[in-house]
Amino acid sequence: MDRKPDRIFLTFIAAPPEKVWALLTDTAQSPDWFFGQRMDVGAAKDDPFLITTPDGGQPVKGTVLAIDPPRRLLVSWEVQMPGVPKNEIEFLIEDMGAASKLTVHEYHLGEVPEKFLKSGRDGWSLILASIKTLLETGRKMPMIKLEPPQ
Amino acid sequence: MEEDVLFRALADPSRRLLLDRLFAKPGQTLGELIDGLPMSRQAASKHVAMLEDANLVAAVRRGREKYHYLNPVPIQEIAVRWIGKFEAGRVAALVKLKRKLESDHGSET
Repeated sequence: MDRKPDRIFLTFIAAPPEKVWALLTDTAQSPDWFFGQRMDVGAAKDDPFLITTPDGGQPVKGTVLAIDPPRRLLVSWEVQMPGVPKNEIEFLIEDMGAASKLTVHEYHLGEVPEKFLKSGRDGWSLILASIKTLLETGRKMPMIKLEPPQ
Repeated sequence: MEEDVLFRALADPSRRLLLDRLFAKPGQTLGELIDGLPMSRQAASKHVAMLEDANLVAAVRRGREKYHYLNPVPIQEIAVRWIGKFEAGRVAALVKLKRKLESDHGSET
């Protein structure tokens, strides 16, 4: 792939790639690291990708564009708000021996307003820190209410 | 320790300047990053290597080019860790205070 990401977020986790992948794609566990939201990842290419809030809202919809367990997941990330261009999010898991390297690449398919860039920065940083904490210590994400950008 | 590497990487104004520039414009080559700065390519390359070791800079290669990004996650991990500790400390202090007040009160009556 020749294109370069618009943003990168990454962490190292003391767990094998299979465990990181299992947590990332297990809908039932996703609220523990995703601000209480459910993340549904279809099992195959072209399957739906969905984020559901506790009150049933679906702020993000999309499609699985590529899936290669336990290494790579690429989804389209379509924020259901006017004025936000479609993004693509790529999760990469690399085996580093004693740890896994979990990387999130953000690809912007249009000009993303600063407030959404900020919520991406804050959001992915917290999410990756939470996935790391959950896998390494078993502690769930402290309940932080993340308001969608107004 | 992982944090020693992180704090050492942050404890230098030139490296913080490079992080500021990557924050303002993600995905720069080394050449773009030092454009207009009184910093040699060699010095910048050393600084960037330290920032990469601390996981504060992430990079991708595309063809012959290497693009650099600010990775905010380690800062967040430190925040999560210390916020957790501060809360635990406050809870412990309150428990102690409660015990002391209650036992003082108990001895008076």
